Amino acid sequence: MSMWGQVFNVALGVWLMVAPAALNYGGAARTSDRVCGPFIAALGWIAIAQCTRNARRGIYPFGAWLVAAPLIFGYPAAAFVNSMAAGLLAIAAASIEGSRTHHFGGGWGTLWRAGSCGTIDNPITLNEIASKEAQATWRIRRQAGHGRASS
Amino acid sequence: MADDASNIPPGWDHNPSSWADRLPIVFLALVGTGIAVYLAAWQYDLIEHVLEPLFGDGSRVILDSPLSYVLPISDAALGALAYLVDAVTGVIGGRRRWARMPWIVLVFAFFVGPLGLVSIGLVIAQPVMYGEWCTLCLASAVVSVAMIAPAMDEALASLQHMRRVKDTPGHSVWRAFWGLGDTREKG
Repeated sequence: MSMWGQVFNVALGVWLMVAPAALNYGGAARTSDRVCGPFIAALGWIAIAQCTRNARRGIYPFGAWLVAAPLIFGYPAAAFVNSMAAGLLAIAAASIEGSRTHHFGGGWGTLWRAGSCGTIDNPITLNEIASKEAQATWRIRRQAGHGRASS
Repeated sequence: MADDASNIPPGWDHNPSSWADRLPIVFLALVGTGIAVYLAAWQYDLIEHVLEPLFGDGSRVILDSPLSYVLPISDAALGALAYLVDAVTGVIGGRRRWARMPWIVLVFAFFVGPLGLVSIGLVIAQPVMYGEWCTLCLASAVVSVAMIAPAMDEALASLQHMRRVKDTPGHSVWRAFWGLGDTREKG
């Protein structure tokens, strides 16, 4: 379940759509939650797929808004707590990239890096992609201080 | 499926144009078409009742709202047409269409992607503008969102193919887009 952070955000988005009725609040808080809910649920769902996992980053601005909005508008107590908690949880869950088991030719980043897919006569191979991705993962783990423990 | 291995894009471990990847999207598009046709039939008074198990008058309020009739044809009718385009562009082409017909893959992705975004917009409009929900409209939006990710991986393979063509001297990206000329890579 490497995508559980994204699955969590789908549930969180649906909760935000239901929350104004469940917790009985209206006004700006209700509108905010009814706008952010569908976006967070949809982006979370799209990010479940390994190929479009980075759609999770689209959740960050909605999470930030949910944290900021209660401070800007006068929210009822339940809505205040709900919005703050939902925003923080959405950002935390969206930040979990999870492991990927499939290879996509280097992903979307290759599209604006000349030569990164090889050429028609000499296309990049799966082995080259796999070793590049393994190196990138290793570098990230080193930077996070896990390098020695895992190698 | 033995011939599928040669159709896998360079640097990939699976073929996004395989029928196993595409048929579920086509199925979802047909489900979406069915829901949208049903809702449009109610909007154009072809049927008297509309299914609404959860929200009382919700579906009637939403489907009769001014937003539904902003364009010359109703939003559900437009949705039905868009889902139909999804289904048709989903089935056109063979197992190597990511390289042989990038144009159809990208038209497919264009209709699936923006249609999904319009669906999210309509979901937001329901409660925010009219204070109601519509069960089948929500179901239609779920279908739209579910199609996005599986359509995008095929678009990525097509765009990477065009990236390779661009980086190969003597090849035309324009011709590759329409699937003209010999653009078959070596294994």
